[in-house]
Order: sequence, then C-alpha cells, then structure tokens
Amino acid sequence: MSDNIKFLIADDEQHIRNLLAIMVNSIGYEVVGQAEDGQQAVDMYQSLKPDVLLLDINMPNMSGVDVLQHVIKANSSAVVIMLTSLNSLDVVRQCLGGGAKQYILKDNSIDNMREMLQEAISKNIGLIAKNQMSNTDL
Amino acid sequence: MDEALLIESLGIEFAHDLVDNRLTLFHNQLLALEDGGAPFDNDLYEDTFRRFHGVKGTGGMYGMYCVSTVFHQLENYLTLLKESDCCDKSDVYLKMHGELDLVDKMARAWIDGERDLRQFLTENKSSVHSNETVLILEPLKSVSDQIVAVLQDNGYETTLVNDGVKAMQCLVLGSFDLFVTSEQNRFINGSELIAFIKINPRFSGIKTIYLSTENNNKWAVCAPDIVIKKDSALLTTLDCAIS
Repeated sequence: MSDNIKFLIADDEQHIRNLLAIMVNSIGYEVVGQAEDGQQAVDMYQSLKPDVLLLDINMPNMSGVDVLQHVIKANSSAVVIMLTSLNSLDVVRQCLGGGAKQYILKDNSIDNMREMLQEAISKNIGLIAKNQMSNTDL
Repeated sequence: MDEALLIESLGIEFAHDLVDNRLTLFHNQLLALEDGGAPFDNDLYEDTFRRFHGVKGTGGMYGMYCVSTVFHQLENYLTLLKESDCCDKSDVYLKMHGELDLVDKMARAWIDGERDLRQFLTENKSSVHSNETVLILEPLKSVSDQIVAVLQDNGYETTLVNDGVKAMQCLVLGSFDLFVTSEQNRFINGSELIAFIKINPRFSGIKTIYLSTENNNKWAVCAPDIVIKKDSALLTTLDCAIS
C-alpha cells in the first residue's frame, strides 16, 4: 500500500513547486496538490489527506512553522518534511521538536535533494503505511 | 520530455522571470523602503526579505549558485538596514540596487547558455579597489581572517598586523590607501594610531575605519572616517562601507 505515496507540496515559489513535483514524480510518487501559502497548505492538507507534506518555512499568510502546528495538532503522526536553506537551521531544529519528521536543504543539487527525500521516505515508511491504513479505515 | 531537459527549460524560465518581472519588482520595493524612511514599513520589509529568500532557494535548486550568493548578500543588507544604525543607509540601498543589476547580468547570461556565473562575482568585487592597499590591525585571528577576506574580495592588497608597534612601523615605512583597526591592541591602541594618521599631513590620503566593540566614545577623539560596530553585521557593514 505504501508504494503509492501521495505528496502535498507547500512553497510560495512556483519555480520550486514545479521542480519538487518533477523530483517527486521521478521517484515514482504522486503529487496530489500544490499550495502556495500557509493557509492553503492547511486547507489542502485537510481536504486531500496526503501521506507526506513537503513544507517550506518562509511563506506568506501563515508560516511553515504555524502550518506544522496545525497539522500535528490534527494528526500527531503526520509525516511532514520541512524544506529549508542553510541559514534557517535553527528554525528547523524547532520544527523537528514540533513534530516534523525530517528536513531537506534547498541549497542542494536536484540529485542530492532526491536522495535526501528518498532517505526521509525510507525512514518514515512504517508511519506512512500506518497513516494510510487509518485513512482507509475512516 | 527528458527530466534533465525539463529542469533546464524550467531554469531558463526562472531566469526570464527574474529579468522580466522580479528584478524590477525588487528595485521598486527597495525604492519604497527607502522613500518610506523611518519607522520602517515592516510588512514591506518582511515581504521583500521573503521574496529574496525565495529567489536564493530557487537559484540554488536550479544550479545558479552565484545568484543565490548575491541574494544571500542582499538578505544581509536588509538585516543591516533594519538592525544597524552605524552606516549611511543610502549607501546600502545603492549597493543593493547594484547587486540586483548584477543578477540581471547573470540571468541574461544564463538565458544565453552560460552556466558558470562565477566570473560576474569576481569582476564585480575585485575591480572596485584593484591596486589599492590596506593595513589591518586586528589582534584576533578569527576576526582578522574574515576582514582580510572581505577586503581582498573587494580588490585590496592587504597587510595584516596584530600589534600597535608593527602597525606604526608599516605606516611609516609603507604606503596605504586604507587603515582598518580595532581599539584594543598591544602597545598602541587603534584610536592613538588613527590620531597619529590624522595629525600627520604625510598620511592625509589614508582613509581610516575604526572597529568598535565598546559602548564608549574613544573613537570620537581621533575622528576616524568610518566607525563600524564589531557585531554580527560587521563584515556586511565593512563590505558596504568600502564599496
């Protein structure tokens, strides 16, 4: 069941969303939605119920940190992967303490980011499968 | 379409977006920030910072690392504008517009097929003060290494010393365009050396920069050309002051 993993991408930069979508598709997963600000990310997470949320930190309307709080409050086992650049690592530590499962550095080549993403999915595959079963039960 | 070709095409689209839309928007946002004066328009500031941060990340993902470097520097300038009051802010804005113009050149080169943009960074920095010399008096190696790097990036030929007597010897025996010093040094303090430069007509061509860590006015008696606080924005302020 966990082979078909659904992603929601939340980033205010359209160019980054496009690139992440290509990356996610290239490793065989599905992008079910793209949010361009924090509020949209919360709304789409609730309606689309993705298995993984790729979440940028600096977004308009609601920051990634606030989105994370909303998502984790609704589902403490949600798989949220933060997207960040090197100089936001303090915020990332805060996010990991707040329930994010992993982070990916944007200051990287596509190939490196793809590897980081695959590693993050591998580490959380059990949780993803469990969430998928819970969603099916509902 | 092949994934590599698709990414290449999206990268060019991003470069076009920079040239056609975003850089103009950024210039206008900086003009609005500057025109607004104090107190700072916080919403506009945050929006500008977020947009710069976005371009920095996007540039990195498309392999435009030099564009990311410039936008990282632009973020530093924005921080400087908000947090520091020890430099002329109109100089900072001017510098930022110049950096945006540099990105314009980089993006156009990317569209034309150039994939190594490092030449733009090198040309921009080193041509400013090529053939100029600077004497740096800083006892802390961790600080002096960074100061030397900033000055060399701007084209200066650097001489570094770590006590006041050596600095005095260099001043008397050498020829310098710029003198950068901290206050606390062995044998002779920074303010005493700047005072020595200021009263001696032989050194009238030397510009002086005083790096201050203390909340006192020791520098006031020696009247340096520029005073820079030794805080987290030191290197950015220095870079801006000499540009």
